[in-house]
Amino acid sequence: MYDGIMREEIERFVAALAIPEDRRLVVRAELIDHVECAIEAARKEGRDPEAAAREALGNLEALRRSLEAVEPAFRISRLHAFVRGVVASLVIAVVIDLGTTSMAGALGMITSLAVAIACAPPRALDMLRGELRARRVRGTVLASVPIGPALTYVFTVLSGPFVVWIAMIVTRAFGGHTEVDAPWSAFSVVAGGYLLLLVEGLRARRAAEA
Amino acid sequence: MARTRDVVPRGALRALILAALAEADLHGYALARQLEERARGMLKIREGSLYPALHELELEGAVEATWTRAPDGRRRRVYSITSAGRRAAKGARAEWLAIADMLHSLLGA
Repeated sequence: MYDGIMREEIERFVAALAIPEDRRLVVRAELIDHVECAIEAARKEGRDPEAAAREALGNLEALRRSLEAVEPAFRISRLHAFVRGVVASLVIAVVIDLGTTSMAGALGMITSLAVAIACAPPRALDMLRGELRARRVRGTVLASVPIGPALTYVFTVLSGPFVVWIAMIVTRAFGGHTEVDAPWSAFSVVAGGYLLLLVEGLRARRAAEA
Repeated sequence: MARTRDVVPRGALRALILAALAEADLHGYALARQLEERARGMLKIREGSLYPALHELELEGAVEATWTRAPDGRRRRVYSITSAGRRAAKGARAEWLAIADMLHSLLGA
């Protein structure tokens, strides 16, 4: 019934994709369904089923590139995003703390923003936009969007460095060191993060009102 | 007859997908064929862009997919639009119609 050559081609293609295992199953099932639908349609219309199947599969290289760009984001759970946020927070806190004066200004700001961006989950911005557009849920006090992986990452990386710095301050205070320095660069991720939330939140609200 | 286009701007494809799913739940192949039929031969939906676009919309919560079975028993994913997707569809439609109007007045006869 079904063209075995195409099945082999699909299996080979799917096996070589650099995507999470559960998404591989989704892609495989969708491609097989797509090709079989094309074969059925071709048979009904008296066209060559094999040619129809090949045409339906299209440019596999283009499909591979697109899927490998999208699929890894499905792997991101809130826990995964939280862990990434904790790692980013630790790196930012230590770099700013150890860098002392060299990291107090623009270099520290750029470095901490770069760390926050580098540690972000794949397609975090797209996920954030999606989460901000989600239907609001009513809580005890306010109605708000449910917190997904992108918001988890943003709030972890906004607050994480301060938790580490407070721990450092308290530890050093017990050692007799009571001087606290708060460089401007310590606030770059907070400022950048809230600016991002403000801009994307307004865009989401405007889209909801449209 | 107008030339068939097989490269649809990414945003336009997302808008077309949402518009089609706003009318009925569809699986990938049916969605592609429905869009092509609506375009009356002027558009060819490439699988290389269709499924990644569907998966992106799924990630963003604009569509959701459920597993069903085709008549011969093979597994099939059927996509449906969510309420966030309906809002996005409305916005995208207005945006693309405005762009089309603008282009028509700038480039039109």
